[in-house]
Amino acid sequence: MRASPSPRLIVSRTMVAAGLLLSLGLLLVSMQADSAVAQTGTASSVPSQSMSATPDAAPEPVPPRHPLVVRIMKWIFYGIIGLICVYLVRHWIFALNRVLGRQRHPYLDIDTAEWPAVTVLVPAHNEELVIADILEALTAVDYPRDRLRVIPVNDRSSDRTAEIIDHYAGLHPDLFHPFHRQEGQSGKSAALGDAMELVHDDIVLVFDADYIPGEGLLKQLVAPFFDPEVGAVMGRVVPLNAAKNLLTRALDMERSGGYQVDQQARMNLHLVPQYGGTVGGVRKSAAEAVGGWNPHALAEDTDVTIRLLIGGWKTVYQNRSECYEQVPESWRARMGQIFRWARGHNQVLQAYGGKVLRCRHLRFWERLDALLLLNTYVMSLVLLIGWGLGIVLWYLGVLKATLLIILAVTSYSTLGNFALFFEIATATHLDGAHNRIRLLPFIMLGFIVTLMAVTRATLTQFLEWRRRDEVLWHKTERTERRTAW
Amino acid sequence: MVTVLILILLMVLCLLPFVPGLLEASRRTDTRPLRIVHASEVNIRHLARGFRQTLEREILPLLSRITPQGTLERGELNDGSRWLAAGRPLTAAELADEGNGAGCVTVLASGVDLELADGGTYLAEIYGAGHVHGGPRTVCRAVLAEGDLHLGRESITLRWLHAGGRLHAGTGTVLFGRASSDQDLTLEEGCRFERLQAPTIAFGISGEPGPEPSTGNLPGEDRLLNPDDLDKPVQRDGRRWLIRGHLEIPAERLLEADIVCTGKLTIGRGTVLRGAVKARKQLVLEDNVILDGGAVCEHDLIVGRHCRIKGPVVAEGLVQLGYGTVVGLLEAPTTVSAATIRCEPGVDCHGTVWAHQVGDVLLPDPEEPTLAPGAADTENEKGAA
Repeated sequence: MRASPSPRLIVSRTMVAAGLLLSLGLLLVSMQADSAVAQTGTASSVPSQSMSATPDAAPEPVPPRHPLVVRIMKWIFYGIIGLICVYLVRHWIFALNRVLGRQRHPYLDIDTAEWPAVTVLVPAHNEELVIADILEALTAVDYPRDRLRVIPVNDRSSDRTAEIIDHYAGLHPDLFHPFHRQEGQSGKSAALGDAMELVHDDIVLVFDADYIPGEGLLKQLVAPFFDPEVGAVMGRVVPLNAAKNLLTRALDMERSGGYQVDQQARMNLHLVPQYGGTVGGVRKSAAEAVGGWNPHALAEDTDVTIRLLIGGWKTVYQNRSECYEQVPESWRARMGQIFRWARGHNQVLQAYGGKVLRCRHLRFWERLDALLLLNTYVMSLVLLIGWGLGIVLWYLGVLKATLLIILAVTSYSTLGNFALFFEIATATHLDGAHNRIRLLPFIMLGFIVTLMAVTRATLTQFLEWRRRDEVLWHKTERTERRTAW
Repeated sequence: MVTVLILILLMVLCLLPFVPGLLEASRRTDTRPLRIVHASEVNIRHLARGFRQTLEREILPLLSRITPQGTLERGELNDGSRWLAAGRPLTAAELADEGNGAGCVTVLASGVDLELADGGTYLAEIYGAGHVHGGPRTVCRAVLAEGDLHLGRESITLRWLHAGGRLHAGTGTVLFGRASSDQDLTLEEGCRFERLQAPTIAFGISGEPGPEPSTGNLPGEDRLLNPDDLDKPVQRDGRRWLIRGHLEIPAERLLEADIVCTGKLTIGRGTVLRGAVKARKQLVLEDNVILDGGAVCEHDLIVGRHCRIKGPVVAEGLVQLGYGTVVGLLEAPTTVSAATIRCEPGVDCHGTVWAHQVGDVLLPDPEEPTLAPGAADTENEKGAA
């Protein structure tokens, strides 16, 4: 016996339907406005045709015959507005779902179980300032000690990282099994790939060195793996250094929107939550079934997510499995981070975009969400092209200003690296935060930086498509030591 | 001039939204990182532990002093709320007055066994150093008993219960919030619940032990099911079999795999599955099915009679457990979680049971004669025949 849909669910569905209709309306209005311009332009620009008609008959409006290039530009412009509207609707649906829809946390309640054996990988490269914190935290987690193995992966550190790891291994030889990597390809992906060879357990959790797992986090992240369909799990990342400056405060809100709204809504709607490479885990047998760890991936997390999806595995997002992290504190570091993410994402798009499209066993909405996810970083470039086309077409007299306004509004409501302003507002509300919402206008400045960084990354990647990207260690700059090490 | 004024006005309008932001950026009133909820806070015993810690700081030392003397003491906690510590059994009138009257205390601690009167309402948080016994139709806010805790029929608890000994809820009791026991927890027929935890949770059949594990003939290696035996294509990834669409696994077979089915999955009676199972649509385990792993379902999960499930049972809709089913083991407790949980009398769970909306212990169906413990063997024999 199933209960009838709750009023909240009905309201949610109505709002989603309204959002879809509104977007469709926007697109139609834009095309109508263009058509009106064309018709108005006809009356004045082709007088010879109207003179040839009979005096009492109304002149038939004939569309102007623009050159082929202009017509192609016009249709590309429509396409871009349509694409942006799709993203806009997607984000509306996500935000509304988080406020009004049914929330899915199916594995959160598994707090009693016969916990499986787990290996935790901690990739580290010159992390002497923070590595002790995470190792200390891992000694205190609530997980059966005889089923927990931690492999700190020290990849050619030139500071005291190796010394600190060995010190902890000496204190807890049953728990820590260090892997000091001295050769092979550089970078986190490659280091994790090599470390996987040392893993005997089926469940592998990954924490970057600057993360501090709480007491119960491991159980929360392992719980979804009782579901044999789950291939990867992602927890929520919470900035610890949010108070540092305006950038960190903006990033804190952006992360909030990205996880609290975007990821959780995808979980709610059975779409494609994304494994983020840290504060999460992977089922080793699942990763092997879809081709293993890719050491050449610039964004190994997105790479694994999409390959698991194609292979019939689910990625699960656990919104209440929270862990603190450090966000970039300078614009330079932030630009570098975005640049890296964009190239990694685009690499996965190039490799698997077509496969996702052709993957028949995926539901339509899953395919659509995966493609929109992979295209996120291409959208900045698309938007700039849209703006360029819009201005050119306007000066050519092909478009009306209405269209540019529509493009402006939809762009503002669509772009954002992690989340949009209404997603951030929703997330801030859900997190119970108060005054930080006032900083929301500053997010727009962040989006401009994002737009530039992503466009640069995408363009250079396109121009250098023959060259394989060099995978290196990229990490957030550490500015202060947390413990006495 | 007008143009300049309009431009200035436009700039002011554009900058206006930044004003509250600039103020917040300079005042920094909301800069703390988001507070992470620790796992211990969502633990079922968290409230009971917190209550005990409060008592240990301020009341328990006093209670141990006044109990031999058989006296009463009153006082106030740090937050100003009033408490009563009783070193002797309280009379019904005293309980009614202190537990629910106009001058009701916030904490009522008893150093001896406590008897809650029939039909009484107790809005104080109650601590019993010994056993706590509630009469029929008692309404309690929260009770922590170091010994056994018994609630009479049709009682109601509003927030939480914890018993160091056994916890027993009579017929028709409604347990809002959390109920846990360090020994075992019994809910009689007609009880409703939200969140339970104990080494053994027995639903229905008051006081009787749960049914013994099935002793019928289990399918052997000769009954091993291979992917080719199924009428659907199977995508094999190591241990996992992925089947798209609905699937019916035949009765009395042995499977050594984790099964994932994208449609409705039915596992035939008497089948033994050495692995976990997941269905995106309905999942039905017919009678006498044995699962070594967990069972996960995105919709409703219906478990027949005399089934054994070792791992977690998770459904996003309904979980229905049939008579004689046992979930988890005493030495390996597990979790049952669903929006709605319905248990026929005679179900045993070891570990945690969490119903997000409501959990029900069903009343015996008068149309269908209840199977006595041990009848499973006869059923098995019939099935085999």
